[in-house]
Amino acid sequence: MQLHEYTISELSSLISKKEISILELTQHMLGRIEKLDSELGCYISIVEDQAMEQAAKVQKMLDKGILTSPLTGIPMGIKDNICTEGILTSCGSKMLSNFVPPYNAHVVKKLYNSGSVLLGKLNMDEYAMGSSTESSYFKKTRNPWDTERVPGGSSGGSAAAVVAGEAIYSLGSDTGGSIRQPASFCGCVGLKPTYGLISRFGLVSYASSLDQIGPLTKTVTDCALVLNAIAGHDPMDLTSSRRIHPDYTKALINDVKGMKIGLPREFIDDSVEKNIRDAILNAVKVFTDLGAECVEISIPVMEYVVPTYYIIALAEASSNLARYDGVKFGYRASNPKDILDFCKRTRSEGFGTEVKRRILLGTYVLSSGYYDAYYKKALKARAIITREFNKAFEQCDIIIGPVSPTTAYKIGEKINDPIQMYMEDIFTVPVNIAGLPAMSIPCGLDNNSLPIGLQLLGKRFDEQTIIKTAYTFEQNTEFHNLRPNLNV
Amino acid sequence: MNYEAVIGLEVHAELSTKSKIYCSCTTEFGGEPNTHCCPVCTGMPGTLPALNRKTVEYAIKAGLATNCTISPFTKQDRKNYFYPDLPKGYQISQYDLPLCKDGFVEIETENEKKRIRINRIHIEEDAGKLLHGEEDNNSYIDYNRTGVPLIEIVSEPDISSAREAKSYLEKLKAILQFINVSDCKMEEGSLRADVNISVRPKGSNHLGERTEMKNLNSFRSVYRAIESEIARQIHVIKSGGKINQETRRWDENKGESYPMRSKEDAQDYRYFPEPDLPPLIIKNELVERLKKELPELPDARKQRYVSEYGLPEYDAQVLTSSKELSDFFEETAKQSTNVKAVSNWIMGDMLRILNERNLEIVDIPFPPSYLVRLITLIDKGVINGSTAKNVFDLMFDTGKDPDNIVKEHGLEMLKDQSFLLEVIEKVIRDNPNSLDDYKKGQKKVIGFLVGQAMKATKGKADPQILNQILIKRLED
Amino acid sequence: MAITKEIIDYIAKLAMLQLSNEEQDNMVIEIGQVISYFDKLKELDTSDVDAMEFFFMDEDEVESSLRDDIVKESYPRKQLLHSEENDLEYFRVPKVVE
Repeated sequence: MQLHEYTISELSSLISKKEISILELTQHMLGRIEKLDSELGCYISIVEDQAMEQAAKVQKMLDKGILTSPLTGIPMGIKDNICTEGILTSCGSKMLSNFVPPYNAHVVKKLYNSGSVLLGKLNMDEYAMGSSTESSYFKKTRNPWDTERVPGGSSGGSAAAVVAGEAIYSLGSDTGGSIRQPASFCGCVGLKPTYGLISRFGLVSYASSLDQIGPLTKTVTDCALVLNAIAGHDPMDLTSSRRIHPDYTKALINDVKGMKIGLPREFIDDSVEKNIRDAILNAVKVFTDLGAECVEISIPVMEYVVPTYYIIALAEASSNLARYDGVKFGYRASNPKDILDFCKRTRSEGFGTEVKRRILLGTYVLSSGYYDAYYKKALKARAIITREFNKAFEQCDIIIGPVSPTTAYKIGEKINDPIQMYMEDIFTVPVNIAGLPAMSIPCGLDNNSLPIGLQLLGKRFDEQTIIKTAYTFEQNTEFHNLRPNLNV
Repeated sequence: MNYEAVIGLEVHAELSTKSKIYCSCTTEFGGEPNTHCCPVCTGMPGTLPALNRKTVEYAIKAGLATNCTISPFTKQDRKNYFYPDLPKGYQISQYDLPLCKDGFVEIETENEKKRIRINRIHIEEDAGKLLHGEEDNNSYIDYNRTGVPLIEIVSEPDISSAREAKSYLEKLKAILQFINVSDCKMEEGSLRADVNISVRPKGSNHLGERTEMKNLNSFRSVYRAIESEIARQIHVIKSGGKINQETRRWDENKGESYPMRSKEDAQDYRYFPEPDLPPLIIKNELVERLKKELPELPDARKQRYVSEYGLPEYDAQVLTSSKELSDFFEETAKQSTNVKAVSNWIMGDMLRILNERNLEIVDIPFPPSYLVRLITLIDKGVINGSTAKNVFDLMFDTGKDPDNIVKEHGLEMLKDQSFLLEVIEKVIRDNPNSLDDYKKGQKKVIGFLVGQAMKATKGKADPQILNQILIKRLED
Repeated sequence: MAITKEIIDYIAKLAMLQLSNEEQDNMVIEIGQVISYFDKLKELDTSDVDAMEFFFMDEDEVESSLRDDIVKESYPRKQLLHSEENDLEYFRVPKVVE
């Protein structure tokens, strides 16, 4: 087995036993990227020199006993909408193609402090607006299982890198499924934590009330390790929770006996591909065979979640993206006639089509005369959807279902049909609307040998139940060991 | 037909917190351009606002001091518009749930007290400063002021004249200074006012079309701009025209206003709840604590000056018009046995000198105790009133205490009878006719001779003794 | 309500975007489609909900941690100005006419 195939927990043990050096591991990972990335396109920036320097520094600190985190020496990749001091943070956009932040995101600081080694910044849909990573200004990322297909998105680079062994783990961001859907398309573990569990400081905002950073890993154990490192209150983000988070590795328990697992009937209707439905029902069987009880529930408001989500997300986005006017940072239009021409052309040339479409939609739903019918209505719908999920959780400990109605599709297949793309977010967006935690774990392959994701939804701040359930599934199945054949 | 004006004010006051509203940069005025800035206040990607607790507390204090209700549930909202001095492309403000609402302040009009209702007070962030290149075709932005906390105080249209508007503004300024939440320096832009004005036939209930006047940076501007706008509107209506609902900009140099934008291009601000900041729940305990922290307010202080010191209403009003003035008076009065004299000196000579020398109370180079000693010198008969005025001037020149000045310049009153008699003899010798005139019954000669004697003693003669001696000499 | 060219013009102006003729034509259609999809929400009965209900749902979390009023050092100006001209003292833009 090669180094990139190991999990965090395995590598951590090899490093602490000095069976491998951090430099050696980092070198190997950079070699792996060198070999694969021209084809897969996971990275926007690779920080070779910094990675080697950091590896040497971290090794010294480890040798002196200063650093002892399970993430010490572990090479990672970070989605390119999470700010890294001194390193291009482009958001996959021409607009920020020259933006080098003078500060680190809170999560980046935490990971640096734990001794994790940054390999580079990962590709994504422009401003995280998409679910295929096709709208990146820089490149398309390919699905490691079938390079003709998309890796999902918007954290497509983050998911593909982990599955292809171009990073041991990565960070993504999830506004309406952007961690879980690519995790499901690529076959890895992706967690969208409870809103407020992780500081958003340094995450370039798409939709502030929905955005959350989370880990993408090979296993549930690795997910718990990364979550431990990045969770917690940050005084720079007033929406981050002040409650003390538990040690998530304590939830790595192989036991679902007596647990009530809710399966909403709206989650397995005909809109979902048959292969996926079968995989979900098979997962239900795995759990019931282990002593869990499956509870059939209903969330009637599901038909409204997509419009609710998009109205809120795009309204916030239209405002969050107002700061990109060329005045302070980022792309600037050349030879402006006057200030108005300068700002307008900067924005029109700097943003891609999907971003412009979403800004216009968001502006519309907030504009005078339409605010009540759309934005305000969506806020009310948000409360109703949240109520319904809270009510559902009175009947069960966890809810399961698919992540996406389809598996990875062909590059170019859906990019020109916005509504179709939006509608496929139906199973991921309610989690963001209600601020819940949810995880995607591999639960099978479809007829085209493409991964299928199982989604586990928990109560607010109850990541432990998700981790415990997912861990149990992992311990009793082999899906997490499936890897694409990359011919290298 | 007679017209009356209907006026409402929107007053912005910068709060005197140490750090900005959403980041830890200093709020200090001035500084090298763009050196009081960080990624948060320049709106860099990924940064988030972290609300300053003191901003909320100061705004609540302002609300309590103006008789407002403090909202138990409140939130911040985004006001979206593009302008280069606004780094995020939106201003964080408050829309439909302001922190404070439904208050009032009382002002004095010519013959009565008048209550001006306050619709709301909300918190928001200040914008940066835009400078225009003289030589080149560029504008330059300084974000030092960006993110300085503001409160916006919105009055109901209860004001009917420029004079009332000025009184209202002065009252607000005094209150905000008394409770120590804003230094209210109009010249540094820490107190600014926008004015909404309409006119209507006297006695009508119908509201006329209104205009908004911006860029009023002094009490004088507010007064002049209102006078000018009322006159303009009445003129337009009388000449058969119509008032356009528009925003006008006041040009202080030209003494006139010109339209900035009309209602047609009114902005669509797309307010919505700020998703980066959780709503605020204002607990009753906090409000109660802040209430206890409130100092005596101008109106209460004024009443006390009338009842405790027996000052006339008007004097008490002037003395409580600013915190610095009132504090100076208070400090002096506390140490003096002659409060009436303290009040007279402050209201008279002190305000005159400050005005002549263009000084603020804080610039006074001596402590209140020196004024107390000056008054004591007069009361004890060490110096006379006219000398005291000179001593007071010298105190402003040098900052020295009055005893020293009197000693140094030999300004004690001359009381030596034989010396004063010599002076009188000389004055009579120099004016031989005066004795004759007196004997002919022209008593006014006394005044003339006293004046001459005073002149000869450089004003230092004890006027009482001088008088006695002179009359005795003339009668002889 | 149909999305017209005028509406697209209006919101593009608010959003500080300048669309080519082709983009404009596409947006009329695409935004029109998405908005009519959003119109589905009108079926949902929200009469018993306050728009702010969601934000106040979890009072424990709402109880906010405000920042203490402490001044910290600002950033070096060079790091804040636009990277293409960070040796200036100001942010520079084409002349703003008021």
